[in-house]
Amino acid sequence: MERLWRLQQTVLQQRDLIAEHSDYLLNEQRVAKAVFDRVAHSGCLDAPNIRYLQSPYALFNGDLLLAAYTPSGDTHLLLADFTGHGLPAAIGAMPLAEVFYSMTAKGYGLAEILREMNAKLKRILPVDMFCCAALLCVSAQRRCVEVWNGGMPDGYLQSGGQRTALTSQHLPLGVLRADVFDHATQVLPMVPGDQVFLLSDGVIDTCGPDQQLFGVERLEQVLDANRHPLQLIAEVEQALRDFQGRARDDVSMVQITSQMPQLLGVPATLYTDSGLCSPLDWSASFEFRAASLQQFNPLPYLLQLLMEVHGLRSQGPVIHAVLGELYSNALEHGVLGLDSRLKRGNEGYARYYQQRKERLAALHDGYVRVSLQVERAGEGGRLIVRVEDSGEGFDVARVMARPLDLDRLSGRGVSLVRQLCPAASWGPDGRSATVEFSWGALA
Amino acid sequence: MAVTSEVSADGSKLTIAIKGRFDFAKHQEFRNAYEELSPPPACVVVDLKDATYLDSSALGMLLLLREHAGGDESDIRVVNSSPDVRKILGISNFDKLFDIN
Repeated sequence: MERLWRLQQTVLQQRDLIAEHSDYLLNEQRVAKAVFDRVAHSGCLDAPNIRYLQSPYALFNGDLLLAAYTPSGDTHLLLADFTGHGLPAAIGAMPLAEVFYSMTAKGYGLAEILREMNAKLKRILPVDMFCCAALLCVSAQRRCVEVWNGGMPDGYLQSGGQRTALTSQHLPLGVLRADVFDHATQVLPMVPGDQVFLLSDGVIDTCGPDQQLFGVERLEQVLDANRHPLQLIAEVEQALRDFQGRARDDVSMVQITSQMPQLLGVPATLYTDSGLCSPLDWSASFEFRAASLQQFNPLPYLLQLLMEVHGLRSQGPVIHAVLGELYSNALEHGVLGLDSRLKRGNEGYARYYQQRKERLAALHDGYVRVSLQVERAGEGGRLIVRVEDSGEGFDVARVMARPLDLDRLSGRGVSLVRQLCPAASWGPDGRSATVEFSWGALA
Repeated sequence: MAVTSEVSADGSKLTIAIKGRFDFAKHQEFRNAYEELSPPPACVVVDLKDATYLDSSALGMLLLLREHAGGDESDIRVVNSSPDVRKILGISNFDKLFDIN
């Protein structure tokens, strides 16, 4: 009798303990989810050209979806999937989001962002945890999309009537040491109105009643049947429901339409001073030589330096876009001698970026010089930027005679610069460009 | 047993065979198959002939094995994977780390 009584006491005690633990766990999850939802949903996911579907607990299943504007008005979009579920998966999401938002805002490109994300995850995650990720830079102005896919299912670029698969070419983030990590991206033409669709493996791994997987073929049938791009995500969702009978809880999909920015980017807000001191009369000159050109992107540093000048801050996005174009023109067409006419059609694009990679890797000499000059002018001031390269130069008169055609895929750099900065001029030998930005009295 | 292991007569090769779903449920068994061996074998073969499915935690387990076997110096072969399993290994580009055939 005594034994029976003790047994019952033990059972009751354990029941209470389990209930207590369960409450505790549920509460922790609720708090953690609230934090992660905020991490995952700052940024520009709600922009009119982005549509997405994330099941309520997708993040807790390791899915992460982030979007943010670059200073020059492009959009960075990340869909990532951590191995494992629950808290362990969500922990990695925090540093990843941090790197994504802060580096995008400072004007870093995909390569630098990827290197940083990989190094950070490699450092903090245990060996058996990693993060599959697809990262995009959609540029309506440059009419292209840059893609890196490490371990995510094929994404799709829908361009005109043509569909191109964006296939994983890399190991996931957090697997390789920094010195062997491969940040090589693919660049494809993407004009305003074109779309990219990304998905997590929850979509193709959705299991039917007879243990069959939804799979890539069924997904592509839905893509084939789609008539209105804006309905695509709903159609895939419906197909999953029809296939399975109920919605899965770890499905993420996102679709972005290339769209010209209404306002060019958002002025960066990362200033440290209160606005009382501003350097107003100075000049600086940089020469970036081969070994630097191969692996270093000076733009974020130059932009940060220029943004110390208060009068230039409101023009930050335009300065960033112009400087970006001038720098990549000097590097690609000047130093590397690439012909932008190659960039016609998908294959041409691929060939162009392949050549860029090869020539950059083999580069021994050559330079890009950037000179900055800031001076007072009346109540305000002006900035003069000169970008010069060691290349052959180009036929300035011929290029200038071309109309400002913004629909071409190739040779867009010069048109974009002339459109954004009417005072732009090129040296007669085609090896240097000068642009000027001025500001009036500050309020 | 869903995970079986066998060491060659000279102790230089360990073969681990997985049966059924290769997922987190096999975590402990998989580790037991290689962790206690001394001296560690020079070469490890992971036989997936009877593995029906492989999820991302299985990929994690392969990474743990690789680390244990010497990281970049390791010699790990993943053999007899079905087309479905190979597809999963392919998406993650694990062929850059393992000898897969």
